[in-house]
Amino acid sequence: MKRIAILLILVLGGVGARASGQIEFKFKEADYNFLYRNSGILGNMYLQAGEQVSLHPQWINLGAGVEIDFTDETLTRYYFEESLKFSERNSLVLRLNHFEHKDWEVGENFLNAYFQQNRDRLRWAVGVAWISPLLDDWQNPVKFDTDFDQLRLLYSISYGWPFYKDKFDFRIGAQNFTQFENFGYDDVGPFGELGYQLTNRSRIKAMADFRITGIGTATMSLERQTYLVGLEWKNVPRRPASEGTRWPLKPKSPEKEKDQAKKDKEEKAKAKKDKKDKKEKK
Amino acid sequence: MRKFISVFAIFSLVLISPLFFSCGEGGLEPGDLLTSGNSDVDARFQDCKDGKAKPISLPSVIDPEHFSFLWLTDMHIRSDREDNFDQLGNYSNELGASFILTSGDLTDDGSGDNLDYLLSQEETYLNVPLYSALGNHDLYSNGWERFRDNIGPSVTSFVYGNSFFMFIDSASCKIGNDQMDWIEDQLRNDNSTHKFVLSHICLYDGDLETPTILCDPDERLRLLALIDKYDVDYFLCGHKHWVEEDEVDGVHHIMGGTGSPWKRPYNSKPLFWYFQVNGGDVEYSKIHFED
Repeated sequence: MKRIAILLILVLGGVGARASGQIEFKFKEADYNFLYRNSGILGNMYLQAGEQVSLHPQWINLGAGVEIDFTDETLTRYYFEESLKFSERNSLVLRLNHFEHKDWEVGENFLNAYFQQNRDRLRWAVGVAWISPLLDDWQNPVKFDTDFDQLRLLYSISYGWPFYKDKFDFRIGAQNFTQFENFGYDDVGPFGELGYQLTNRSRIKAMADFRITGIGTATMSLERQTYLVGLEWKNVPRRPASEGTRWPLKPKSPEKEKDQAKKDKEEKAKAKKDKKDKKEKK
Repeated sequence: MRKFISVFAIFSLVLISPLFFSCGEGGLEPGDLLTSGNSDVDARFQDCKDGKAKPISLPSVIDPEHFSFLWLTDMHIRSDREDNFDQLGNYSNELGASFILTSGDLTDDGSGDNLDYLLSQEETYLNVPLYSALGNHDLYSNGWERFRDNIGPSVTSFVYGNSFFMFIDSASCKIGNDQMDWIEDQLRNDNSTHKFVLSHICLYDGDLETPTILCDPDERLRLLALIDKYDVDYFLCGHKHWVEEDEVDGVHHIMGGTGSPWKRPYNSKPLFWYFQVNGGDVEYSKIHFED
């Protein structure tokens, strides 16, 4: 309930700000995932929802997300984030994550601060996490106990490429954090993500992540597998692969968009005509 | 082709980078990958549950409220290197310790030669029993069966006097669901005055996390919550070759350095810890081995 209230405040605040005419409010992106995670002690199915709104395209990009364990409703994760977008490719992300487990009576808050660069194909991020396990008052999303707090290095690197008429894309990489989780150093593994461009603004994806532990102790074993299917939507039309970045931050000017739409239409009509001609020839 | 090579190179670098981060004493060393044991924590737990391990036989309790024991970790015994068994034997006699506990890495490579040497040193110098948690080095050279048959179970608990002792198996850097449930059962059902948990891998290693603590953050949180909930007094661990003491919510987390003259702690001299149980109080002190 608390989480839904915070999400509502976030959205209503943005709408209010827009109504006041002082800042530009824009609903930027949404991400909905269904995942199965199987680790040494957790093997459940989860739903994730994340959204981002912008009050200023460069400086105020707020996001929030929630992960709910819908198999036995004991585990919840949620986050609030702010991204400072220096340019189309470079940004600094500050994210406050909260984890809690009712049965274990334990929680954890962590603040991730990292720089990320999304190039055409290569994406990487590096930063630090301040992690604080909560043994008392474990449902408090803003408490940072200093008894057990630790700093950890964060990294993420992946490489992706489009294929089959630019409709599909595949990405492989490795990382020790996601939007919802921070992994340990010795909890390392590759992930692969297959995407399909459903419409100009939406994409469906399937991801598998395999984590191996015990590398440092030379007793390696597959500790955790995550399988995910999801839908993502961005409030800017996708650029053609020939133009580089697949999800541009800044939309093209209306004139350019119109030209592009006209071109697309013409190409479609031409393709249709070619197909018809071929059929007739046959 | 060039693209494929660059992708492969980046990916491989990322994958092998943890090997470099975790190299060194207590971590991965050359050849370890080839010689490491491949037993799984769940299988070892099952072995212990099935009674396949050498049983622990405790010395008789003279005064349940007053006794003492020695604790050390990471002895890394090798037949071709020095060790501190003679000093350990002398100290245990002088201090009147009832037994000696270790948090694993008894031998350096888990091999039969080094384990045989350890057993002969134990027989020569120690007049009290030695019980040990399982360390990752004990698993090398397929060492689990040798450890199980000659040292004891990797997962076990016992009550001595007014205190409860539990060995947990973190040698593979994970605990697993079966063992975690067992840990909770054992802690829940014990009413001893003091509770000691011994593990090779620690749950916390200071302000800056290094790749030497329990790997899965979820397992770490679960275990932290359990030892807090069931009022464990001491969590005694090793692996990092570092001496550190932290107290959180009444739980003492002690990282014990090493008891090895040739794999010394980075921030201290080789040492053991002397614990004295006096009714409702526990006192402990560090004693350094002489060079």
